[in-house]
Amino acid sequence: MSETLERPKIEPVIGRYIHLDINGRAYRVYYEEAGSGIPLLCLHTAGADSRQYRAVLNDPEILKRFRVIAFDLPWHGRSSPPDGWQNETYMLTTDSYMDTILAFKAALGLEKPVVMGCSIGGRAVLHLAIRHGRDFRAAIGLESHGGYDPRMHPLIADLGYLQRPDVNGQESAAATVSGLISPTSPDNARWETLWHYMQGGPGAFAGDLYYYMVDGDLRNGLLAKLDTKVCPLYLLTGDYDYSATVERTMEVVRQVPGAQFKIMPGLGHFPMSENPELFLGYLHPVLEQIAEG
Amino acid sequence: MIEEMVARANADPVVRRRGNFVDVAFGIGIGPETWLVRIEKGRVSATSGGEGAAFTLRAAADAWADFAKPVPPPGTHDILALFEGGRLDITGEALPLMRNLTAVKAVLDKMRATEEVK
Repeated sequence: MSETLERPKIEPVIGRYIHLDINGRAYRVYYEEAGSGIPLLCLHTAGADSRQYRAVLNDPEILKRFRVIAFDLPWHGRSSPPDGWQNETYMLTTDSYMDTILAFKAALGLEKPVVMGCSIGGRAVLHLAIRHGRDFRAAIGLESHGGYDPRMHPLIADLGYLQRPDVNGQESAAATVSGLISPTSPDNARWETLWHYMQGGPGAFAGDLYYYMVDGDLRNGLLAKLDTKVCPLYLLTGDYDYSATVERTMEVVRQVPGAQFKIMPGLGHFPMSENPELFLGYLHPVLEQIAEG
Repeated sequence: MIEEMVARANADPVVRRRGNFVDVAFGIGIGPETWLVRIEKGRVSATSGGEGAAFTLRAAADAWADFAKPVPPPGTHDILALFEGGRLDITGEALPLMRNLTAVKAVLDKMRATEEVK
């Protein structure tokens, strides 16, 4: 009886929609935020959405000093695709990704936010630091690397099978990424992470991979232009990630003087959502350093 | 290893559910040895020999031994991780693998001994 009289648990996270004009096209974009202070803009992985940052958005320590903001890319989560999407193939490019992030940042009036992204978001923070380093206080790359040539069969590599009528795209998308999660991550967080993948719209995951595998490839010398004195770079990579491997992150570190890198044992490709407690232990010192700096 | 996997898979209602609409026969190669594993309407069976496999997952015995550990080391914890790391080969058709990946992974996970059957 007493249980029913307890106050309901309501999170500090607020969700809203914002209307953006990105290169002349109208988008309705969903974002969540919590906390106050230094803006911390969070970018989700390919084929998922901002729910991955649930733990960061709810962490009292972080919320004391940071205004955490996470948005769903168009075509993801609660950000609908633009009008006319039914006649298009979604393809995320370096330019369209950067334009989207900058439009969102400008619309919210974020002054020199810290940007943190994972996987495609981990690549995006590198592109942002290279192209727009002066506009960001620091960049945090989770599972970041410059690119690689997967061994995958072509059928698997471009995720085309997910849209076949004889394949269950929801189940297969989750099964495709399940091995990127550490076997030591707790079941509840693992399956919530997979649920996000099961909820992705058709073509969204594949369209994101165009940036991850093709257009956003940074094995082109551009990393030499990333100046950590202008935009400090912090990299965190889990040792169970077989896509963004520790070695592939090391290749970035070797090309970017001043980049700070820490391996996260026991984490995979989705650190913030697959094992939030373990991940926050690695994130806190980085945020501490950025706030003090 | 394979017989235990089959027994554990058939004892687990979750695996049965994941394989409910599945009908696939695939090979597991452990070094020179090959097993044909069939998942059909949630039931799993295995016979020696690889004839009739839609695809075959082949790795050295030590790679499968790592995969089967309660906490497999990084890179050995998943068939696609083993594949990307060059320790497992996939031959045959890719589509039946990806189409049935949820059930195939649920069965292969049963190479790992767990304290209780869910």
